[in-house]
Amino acid sequence: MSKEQFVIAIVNGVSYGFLLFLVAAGLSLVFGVLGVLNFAHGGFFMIGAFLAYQIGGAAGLSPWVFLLVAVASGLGVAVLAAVVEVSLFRPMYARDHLDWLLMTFSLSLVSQGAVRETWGVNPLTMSFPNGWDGAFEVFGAKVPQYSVFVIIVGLVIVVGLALLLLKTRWGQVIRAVAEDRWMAQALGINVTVVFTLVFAFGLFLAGLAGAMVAPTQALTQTLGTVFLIQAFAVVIVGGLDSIPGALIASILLGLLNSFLVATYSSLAPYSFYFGLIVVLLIRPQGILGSKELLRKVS
Amino acid sequence: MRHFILRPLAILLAFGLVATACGGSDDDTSSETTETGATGATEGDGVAALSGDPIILGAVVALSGASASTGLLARQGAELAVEQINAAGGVLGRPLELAFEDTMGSPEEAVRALRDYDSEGVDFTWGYSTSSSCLAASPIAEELDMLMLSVYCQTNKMNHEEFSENFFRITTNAESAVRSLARAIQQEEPDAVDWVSISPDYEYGHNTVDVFNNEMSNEVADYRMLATTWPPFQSPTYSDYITQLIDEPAQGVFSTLFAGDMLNMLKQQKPFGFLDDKILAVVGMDIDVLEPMSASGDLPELWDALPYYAEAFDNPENTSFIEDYTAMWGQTPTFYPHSGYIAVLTYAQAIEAAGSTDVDAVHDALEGMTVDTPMGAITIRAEDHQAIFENIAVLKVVPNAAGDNYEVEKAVLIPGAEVTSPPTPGEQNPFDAPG
Repeated sequence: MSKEQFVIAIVNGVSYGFLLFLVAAGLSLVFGVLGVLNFAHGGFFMIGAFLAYQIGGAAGLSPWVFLLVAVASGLGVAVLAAVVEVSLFRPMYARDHLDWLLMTFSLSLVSQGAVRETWGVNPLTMSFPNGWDGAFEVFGAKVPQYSVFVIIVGLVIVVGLALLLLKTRWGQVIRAVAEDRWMAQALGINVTVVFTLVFAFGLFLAGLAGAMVAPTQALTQTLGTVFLIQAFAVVIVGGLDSIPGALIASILLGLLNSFLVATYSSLAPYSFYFGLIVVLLIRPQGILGSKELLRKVS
Repeated sequence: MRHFILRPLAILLAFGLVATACGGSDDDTSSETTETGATGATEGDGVAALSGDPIILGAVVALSGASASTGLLARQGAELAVEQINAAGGVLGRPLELAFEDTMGSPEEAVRALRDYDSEGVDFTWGYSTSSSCLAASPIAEELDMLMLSVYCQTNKMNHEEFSENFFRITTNAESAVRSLARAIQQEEPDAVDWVSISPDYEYGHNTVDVFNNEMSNEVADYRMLATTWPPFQSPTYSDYITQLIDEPAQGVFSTLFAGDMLNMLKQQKPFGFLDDKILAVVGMDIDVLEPMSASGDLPELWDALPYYAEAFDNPENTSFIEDYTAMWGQTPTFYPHSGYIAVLTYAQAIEAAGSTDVDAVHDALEGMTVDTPMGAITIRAEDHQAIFENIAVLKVVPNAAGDNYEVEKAVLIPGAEVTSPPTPGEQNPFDAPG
């Protein structure tokens, strides 16, 4: 493996890791607070990508406009998510895991059907933001500029999330509800509203991730599938209810995938499953998952 | 007690979901069966004159999932053919009718579709979008004494090692598709001797690279395949794979990535400038899917071996097909509608020639039959049931001057007989040997 290949494997791995983190963070947040494993997350992610196309169009946008489009797509998805939470989820919280599985999986099918009816069956594509469609030279290796763009946006979101959850009153409330929703309710927190807002925010992250992915992918109604499976691997490896765990896991798994392609490429398609098996054997609650998590899900 | 039962069920179901999703066909858990009669407002006159039970042709195509567009477009072409044939008096004086089973692109569903048709008394099936569905369904077709007419699947095995008496193919096989592409490149781009490949890591990908290597080595003295890389099906990221090839001093890139995967690769290569100074050669890419890509200005130049392209063929059948199809659907026909159209034509002609709907009689009629199609005459070889095309179109596709769509700069016609090995059912195709 040459020095150039080493550099590019690191950049590819980290940038793909950040993309996955954006998908996984919402999944993890929703599970941590609502206790729902949302199989429709990939569907909302896909809708985010299509909304970005709808708002921004196919041609290249300036990076700032593209970011606005991405945020708008995230907000669009968040509104949709809030409607879903209020109308479909609220009556379901007392139900069993199986009911939730069926409910969220059928929602993902509905989202695919809706996308097909709205945007047709032919794949759509969107350009990279202007000025970010080339490559930087780093130690003689070509590094796609858009990968760096994704890493920067990812870092901003990591910092923003950390500040939101750790430094604001809202963060305290969310953490309190995640910790013990009954106690939080007893203390006068309106858990019902917190659930709606957290779900909408988690899906805002999914929609934003969809928009960020849009320039690198053909937009099809199965766009969410692969990302959702890998995001599930990420949250399990990181610890289902731990957002920092999801960050570490996304980057580790992204890197593992990149280095396997560069070295033993026939094993690369299994990289996420290797990570999953190793973590489940050694540390079943995930890298940063709490022991309590095991009781919660078992 | 309730939990005791539900939890294992939930886990089982979850595994099922993941498994389906991994297969890339998670669009719909229940398959739909849509039956349509001879469609359209104009059918009335024709059908009224016809008598007897309709003859049903059963489509085994993807109507949902990642490859839904293939089946939906084929249905449009098939409906046109049925309408025309019924208007002209039907087949054996009976009306033709179409039935549809959705495979979602999966071989298991193709097998289920065959069994469903068997229970409904439908003997004549067409479609079969992937090689795995052809391989999975043909033993079942033999067992149930039904006919399969494939318009998509390309694996050479179906007319070689896995030859089946009940299977007929009226599209190119992998050999003729890849060799016609290679022939066109030899003619038009003689300086391209060093190549790399980025093709999918399943049988079709490896097989097409072998055929390409064999054909190029046979014909081009200095040909070299410098490096190959094999992304998995539905890989979301191609940067790592492109990195494997970026430093090779190649003039050409051979790729048989499928549909959305190809578009992902084309998008992600752009920052690297991977294709900037190279020829891209692809197989069977319906150029319709390039339109949105062209709109975003990311389309590279490419060579595409696509059996049918509307403007590539100049004959009366093609002219009237384009006219009628455009009148019915408001679109120019592409490869998939054409496939559905010729599947119906082929069965109609065979049943008429057989003089009955007896499966054996229709089977015998198909063997050696020549059908005049919009892309010229195709002849189904009696020995191995492979259609030989008068010409296979290889297109040079480039971005248009405005940079907002594609255009076909050139269509090179390669005679099918020149790029198809003699029939050897039961034996390996010589171009399948690792090249």
